[in-house]
Amino acid sequence: MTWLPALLLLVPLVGGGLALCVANHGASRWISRAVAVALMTLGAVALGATTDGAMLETTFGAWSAGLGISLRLDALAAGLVVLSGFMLLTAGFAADARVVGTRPAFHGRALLLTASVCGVFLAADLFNLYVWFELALASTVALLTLDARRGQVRALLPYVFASLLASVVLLTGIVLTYAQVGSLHLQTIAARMELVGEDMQLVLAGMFGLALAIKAAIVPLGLWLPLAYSAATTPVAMLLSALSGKAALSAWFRMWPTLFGPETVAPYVLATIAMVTLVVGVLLAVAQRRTRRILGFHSSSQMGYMLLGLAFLHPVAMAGALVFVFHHAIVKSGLFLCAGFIRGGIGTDRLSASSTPVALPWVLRGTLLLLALSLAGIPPFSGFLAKLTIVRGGLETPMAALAVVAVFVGVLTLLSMLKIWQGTPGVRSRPDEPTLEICGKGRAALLLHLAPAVFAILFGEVIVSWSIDAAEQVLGPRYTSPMIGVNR
Amino acid sequence: MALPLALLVAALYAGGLYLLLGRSLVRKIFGLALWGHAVNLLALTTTGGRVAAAAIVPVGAETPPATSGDPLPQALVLTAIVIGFALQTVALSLVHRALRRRRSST
Repeated sequence: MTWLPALLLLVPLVGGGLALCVANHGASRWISRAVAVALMTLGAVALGATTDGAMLETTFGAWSAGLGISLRLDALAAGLVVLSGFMLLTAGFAADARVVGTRPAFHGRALLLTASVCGVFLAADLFNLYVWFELALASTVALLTLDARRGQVRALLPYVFASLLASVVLLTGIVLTYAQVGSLHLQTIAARMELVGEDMQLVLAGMFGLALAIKAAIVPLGLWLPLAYSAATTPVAMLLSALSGKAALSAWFRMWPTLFGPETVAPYVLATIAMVTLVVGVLLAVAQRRTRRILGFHSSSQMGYMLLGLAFLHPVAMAGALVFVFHHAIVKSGLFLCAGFIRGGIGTDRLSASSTPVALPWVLRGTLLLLALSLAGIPPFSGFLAKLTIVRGGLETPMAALAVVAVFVGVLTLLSMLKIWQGTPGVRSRPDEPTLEICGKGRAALLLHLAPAVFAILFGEVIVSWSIDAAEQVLGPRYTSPMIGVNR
Repeated sequence: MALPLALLVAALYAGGLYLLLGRSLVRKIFGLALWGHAVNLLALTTTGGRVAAAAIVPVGAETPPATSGDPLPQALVLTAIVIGFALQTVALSLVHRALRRRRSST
């Protein structure tokens, strides 16, 4: 099975190369769909192979682990690979449905972005992680500039500069880590981290924290994110929120528990930052008047939830954060898709715009309502499952007060979702108005986003149980051994 | 050797920061490039900053000579140079596009 991690990277890479070479739009579209299905299938095989804490590690070139380039496939990585295949499929459908005009080169670049984020998910050493991050940045920029109109390129500059800055800080942190422990392999570093003095540990935590905070758009450092969204077409915004942002989070999950223990102040600092992000992000979102901007600022706030789950360093809270990653990727990109259709039909995504009233078809209205409620965390939906798990875990830690605050912040999220629902013209239709037409591919993309949401309602139990296993694997034995019977 | 290298790294970081804080976009890219060099130099100082032989196993021997340096930071620097250069090119082309658009629109 050692070929499996390599295959998960090779399939999208080769597909991306092929799709960029063929001039025919139809061919690149089918390559993209084939790769998406292959990734989901291989990811499912990987999910099966990583149950019960099993882990596949491949080191290339017959080097010993820690010297060569190695890929590590654990339950989280397998799940995230399935997610990227899924997102590639739906964003491809959205691009083909021409939500807002898309150029043929979209598929090749989307495939390369998928390959690079899969690289981030699978990287077993820090330098490898850095390299895939840079590739993800390059392909995201390539996607964003594809359809960039006059003035939009300027909106991208803060994103590019912020990311490059973060990369240099990340690399500095990596080099300093190597200087301290003499290895770049994550598990070796984790084993040797005790030998590093506490002050140096905090320096490293600051370096990695700063770099990943910029990449994950944590509040004071993430103002580039809504700008980038405003320049993006709908399929690109979907990929940006579902893949690029999640790559940064996956790096948080990988590095934080391996490198830094609860014995320093780092987890408390992280929890505070997460809390500030959570509150400020959602307040900024409520203040916006355009659907896409609400969703953009909102993404920043949701990052706060996921980091809070991580900061608790508790298997159940961590499991909640993992559920949140999947929930947020699918639901938020679905909402971007809905916003794209509405903007395509009405001509603007400004809320309470009164131009050209068209009725929205039932499939769009239903998806918008279900996904918005899901994001707001109303009980039967996936958002509630994720938040509940984070809070349940958080209550068992010394930072229980923060978990309680997080519950109340959820109300503001509901408010921002209500604002979208209330303000979107065409939600309440009269029978004499023309209905907005959505082609078959667009409907397929919408329904594809509903499928996981329905799955989460029906099989929440299965998801939580899987994610607790995955979370224990991510946290490692350091945090899971003293747990007396995690309550599933 | 370690102290001059450390001072050089500090100077590069400081210079890069100065350029990054300026308003000019092209200067910002130069600032990032300086930071890239600073990181690369920092990686080389992790070996202690001493002049060491290349870690090549001589014919007939099992291990490289004891005087050889750690080859891993050198490999890292090589990769980091390539990647840093590529991304600076991407950034430069974006800046070029942004400035050209602005000039033609006014």
